[in-house]
Amino acid sequence: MTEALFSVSEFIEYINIAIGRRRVSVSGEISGYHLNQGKWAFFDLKDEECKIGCFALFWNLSAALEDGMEVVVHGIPRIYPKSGKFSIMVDSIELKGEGALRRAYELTKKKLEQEGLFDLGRKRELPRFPEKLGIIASRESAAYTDFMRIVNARWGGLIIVLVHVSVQGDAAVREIVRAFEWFNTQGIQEHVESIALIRGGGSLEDLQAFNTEAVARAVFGSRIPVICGVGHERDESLADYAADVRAATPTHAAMLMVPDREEIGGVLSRHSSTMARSFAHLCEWYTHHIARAISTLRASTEERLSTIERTLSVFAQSGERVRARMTVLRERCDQHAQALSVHMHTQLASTEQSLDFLSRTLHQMNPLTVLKRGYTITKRKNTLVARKKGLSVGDELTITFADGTIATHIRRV
Amino acid sequence: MIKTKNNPSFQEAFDELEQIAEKFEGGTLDLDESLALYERGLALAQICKQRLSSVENRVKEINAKFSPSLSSEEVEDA
Repeated sequence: MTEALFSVSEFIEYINIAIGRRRVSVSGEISGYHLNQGKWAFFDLKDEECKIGCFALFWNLSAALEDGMEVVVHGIPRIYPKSGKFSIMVDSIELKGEGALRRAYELTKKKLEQEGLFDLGRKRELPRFPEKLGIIASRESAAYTDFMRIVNARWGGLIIVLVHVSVQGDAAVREIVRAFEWFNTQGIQEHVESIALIRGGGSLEDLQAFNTEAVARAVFGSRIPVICGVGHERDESLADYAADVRAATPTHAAMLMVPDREEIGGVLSRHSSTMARSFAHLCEWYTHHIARAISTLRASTEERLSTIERTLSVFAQSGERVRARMTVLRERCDQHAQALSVHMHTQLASTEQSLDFLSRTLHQMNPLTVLKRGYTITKRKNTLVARKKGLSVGDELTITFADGTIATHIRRV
Repeated sequence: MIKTKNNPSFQEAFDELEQIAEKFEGGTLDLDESLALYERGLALAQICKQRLSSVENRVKEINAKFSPSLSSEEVEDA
């Protein structure tokens, strides 16, 4: 029987076909773990005696890996043609045992903490009175039932948008990340105001999805505020740390997410009675002050009125006196006027007589009248000459007649 | 002041009512102002009380596919 002759490529293809594309699960301890180009993870899986090479796309790894961790890898074994190396192409990996889980948790926590995913400064508040809530949970879980029971007991009229996801197992991480993607696209358009990510308690292994980098980043990256209520109080998942609000349990998440109608009813009544009391008080205050103002005004008006009355009466009395005085004065004035008139008339008549007499006297005394009777007026150097004494021969004289004046010389004295 | 005076959300109504109650507690209001605020406060309290009386919550489940195959595709693309 002749042995088949292969080329290297043919041989590798032959072996790969013989192995088949059968998915296997292999458990072992990680050693020689390293990353290549930030994209590929390489490691060996070993037990006490043997080891086998493994490689995986980095983002297919749901947990942080480290040498010495016990894991179960799932994938397809084959010979890689270029190197001829037999290895498992890993598509998912599970941490095995509390130690590995705890270590992966610590590693991821440290990394995300350094990146600032848990910073308190970025935490947002949940709306106090939400109208539309988003829930990422398993619809069959007790956690969801508990959450809804509390929400329904506390508040009404809500629209609750549920995205059902697996909360453990292979699909959980992808589904939760997808749910956040849905809320941050479609959910935002539908005005979802807050998202609750909830799950009941469990072992570290059960809660593995909530401790993955992918879920923590999805929580951190959500534009809608996230409240995380995972597990019982002792469990703190990385999703809890990344969330805006951390609730101890799903029930607690419900209490933090919706208000309590009893409590709010109480607040409303308090506000109503505060307003009523304060308003009544204000009205009372105004009533009191208005009454006081009215009485003050009345008193002051009455006082002023009586002052005015008094003044008026004084004024009226004075008026009377003034009027009487005026009458007397007017009578006296009339008397004086009459007396003056009489006096004036008498005076006038006597003056007229005197004038008449004077006029006649003046007429008789007029020198012209005398000249007409033949008398003359003699002047020397404009001085009247009434006697002979003082005159000399040759003096020039003027003699005035009734009808004119002549000049002459004295010839003899 | 709220934008939709006639149909405020519970949050808007409650916030405004709280502000009004605070003003009354502060005691610096005059009569005109307080009368208007008192009427507004009573109306808001009424809106809130009506909203409190609604009991039912409606759950809407999203039936979008979150299947692993989509995720794988994305990984391969990357």
